Amino acid sequence: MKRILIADDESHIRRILEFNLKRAGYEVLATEDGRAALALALSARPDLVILDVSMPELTGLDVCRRLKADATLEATPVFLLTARGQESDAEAGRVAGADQFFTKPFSPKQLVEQVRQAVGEP
Amino acid sequence: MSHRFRWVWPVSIRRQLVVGVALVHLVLMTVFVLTLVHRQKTFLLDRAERRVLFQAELLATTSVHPLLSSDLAGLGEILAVLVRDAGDVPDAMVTDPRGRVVAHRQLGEAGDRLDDATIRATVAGAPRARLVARGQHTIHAAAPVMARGRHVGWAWITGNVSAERAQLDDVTRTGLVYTGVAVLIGTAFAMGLARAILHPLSLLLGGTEQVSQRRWEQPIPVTSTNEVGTVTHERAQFEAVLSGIGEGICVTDTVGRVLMWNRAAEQITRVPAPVMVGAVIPGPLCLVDGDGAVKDFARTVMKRAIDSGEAVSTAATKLMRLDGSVLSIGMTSAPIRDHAGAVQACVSVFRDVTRERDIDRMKTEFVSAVSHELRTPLTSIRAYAETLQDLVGDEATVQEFLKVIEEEAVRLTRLINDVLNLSRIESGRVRFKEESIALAPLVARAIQTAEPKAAMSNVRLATDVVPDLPPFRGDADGIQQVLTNLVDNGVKYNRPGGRVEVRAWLNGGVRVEVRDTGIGMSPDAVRRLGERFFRVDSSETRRAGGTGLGISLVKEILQAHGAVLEVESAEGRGSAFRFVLPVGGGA
Ligand SMILES: Nc1ncnc2c1ncn2[C@@H]1O[C@H](COP(=O)(O)OP(=O)(O)O)[C@@H](O)[C@H]1O
Ligand SMILES: [Mg+2]
Repeated sequence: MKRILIADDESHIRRILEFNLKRAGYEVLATEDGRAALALALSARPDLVILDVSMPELTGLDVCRRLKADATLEATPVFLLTARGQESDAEAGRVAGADQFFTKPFSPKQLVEQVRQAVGEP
Repeated sequence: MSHRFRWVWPVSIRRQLVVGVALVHLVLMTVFVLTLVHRQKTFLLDRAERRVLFQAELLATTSVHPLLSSDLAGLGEILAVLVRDAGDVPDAMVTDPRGRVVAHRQLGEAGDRLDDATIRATVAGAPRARLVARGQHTIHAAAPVMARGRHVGWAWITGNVSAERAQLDDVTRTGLVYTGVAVLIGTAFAMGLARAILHPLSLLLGGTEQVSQRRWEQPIPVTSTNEVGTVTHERAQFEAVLSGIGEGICVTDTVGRVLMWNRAAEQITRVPAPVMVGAVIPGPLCLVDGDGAVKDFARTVMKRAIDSGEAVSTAATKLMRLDGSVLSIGMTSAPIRDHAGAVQACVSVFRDVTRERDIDRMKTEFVSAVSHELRTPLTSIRAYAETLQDLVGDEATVQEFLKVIEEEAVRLTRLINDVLNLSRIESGRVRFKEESIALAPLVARAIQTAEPKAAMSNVRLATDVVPDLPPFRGDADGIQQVLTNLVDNGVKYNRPGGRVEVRAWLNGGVRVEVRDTGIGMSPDAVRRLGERFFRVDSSETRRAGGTGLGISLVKEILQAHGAVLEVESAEGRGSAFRFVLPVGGGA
């Protein structure tokens, strides 16, 4: 089964994403801060990582950068979620190596669709 | 004074006064002295003539008796009394009626004797006392000697007038001396007068010539109470106003040389006038605008004002003081024209807008923070509503209500985006790029975005962009927003079977037109277009939904491109929106 890691400090967002992805058949790991996300990513080896940009401790951008710097996780797709939707954010996301960029509010249906395209059927 | 006389007639008022007064003195005194000398001469000669005539008559009277009695010795005695050493009468004689000399007495060898012709002429005339001749130093007079009505001879007197002549010379000399003295005194007086008038004037001139350099702490001294004093006073007031103005004032010539730098300018920049005046902008100032340090006058707002001939404003310039503090400067530069209308200088008024800019930035940051905070709950609302729609199955009412929640969430999102965009553009935080952009792809994207909505409301979309349209200069994202907004409006405020067309062609730039066959607007609505949150309130527009910020955004973006949105609309028939984008050279 394909494993997805979600990191967002907003519990409601975490919950609905988790719900939708699980319903689509994926295994989901969820955490509320960047540091934990990094640790989980290294230990649980997810097939795809979804990161909120603004999180305490370590931002989504930081986590993304570190994942992309790790030789074993380099190929793992990373989706970033941002609440700002500004050019500069998208640019920063690209620089950090993110594969997809979603501006809140986003459509969970579309997100699940993108996940399916990135990692295939669960 | 015509130019021809410039070289003779001095230009400075001081010289004019001195030369003028001296000339007037010279002419007046010369005329005066000449008149005086002439009168004196007439008076003196008149007196001498009368004296000589009287002496001739006296001789005629006293010589009657000796002449009748042929007493030659007596006659000689009388002549001797007349011809004395004093030299008043150097020559006297008595003749018979026909002019033959009876007695004659002469002092020394006095020349200038009467010639025979004169004597003959005299004796031929009536026996009457008269002057018979005038010489250089002598006057000759003759008087008939009458004895009881009988003409018995002539008495002749030669009078010496050299004393009078000497006196006359004396008068003339004195007159000349007086003329000279008068001219000297007059000139000195003129110089004094010139100084009295010109000293305050020169202070004033010094003052106005150096308005810029002069230390403002030293006002022009107002000492005179006369007209110059009045002018000086007004000037001083004018300068007090200039220096008292809280805004920095900088006057430059057309190449950027500073002519004036007032006190506020000194205070804002901390660069004193003596340093700035004469320097070419930016001179010692450390200016930074959006694109970097301003090192050249050609890159300043002033230069733009001079070139365009119109007032230009900016709020995007920063100034770094010597102590490292950085200010935002708001400045308006305007050309100064001479009477012929040619731009000869530029006046710039500027002030420290750091506080305003800070507040502005805080406002933008606040809006940005608020919109960010709003997005989080919105994200949940939208995500949960959407997910629920999948869960409730075919329950029609629940589906309908969830759809409403989702749509409203989307609309709220758009509102937040528009507010955020607008506030960022207004605060100048969005810097529009200046790139060479092809219009056609942007039009295609706008049409593509509007496609679903157009299909739903049965509106046809069309484009007519001329194939070889050159690229315009500007910001791709910005113009994309403009087109998307206008096409979106065209679709939204339309009717089934209607049509929206985007046309673009070359005419003084890339001319773009978005035209629809929709519901149109009243002239009043057209006027109010661009007001924040303005929406025409009708059932049709309400059904369409929107924020009322789209056109505001469009106008702001176009303005940043130096373009204006033209709107033409007829109620019930449709609208046309037009603008012209600059075509740029270089990439
Ligand atoms: N093409 C158009 N035809 C008719 N009315 C229009 C058109 N474009 C704009 N309007 C009117 O101007 C108002 C303001 O437009 P806009 O600023 O784009 O706001 P929004 O579209 O979000 O309502 C609209 O609400 C509408 O009433
Ligand atoms: Mg609109």
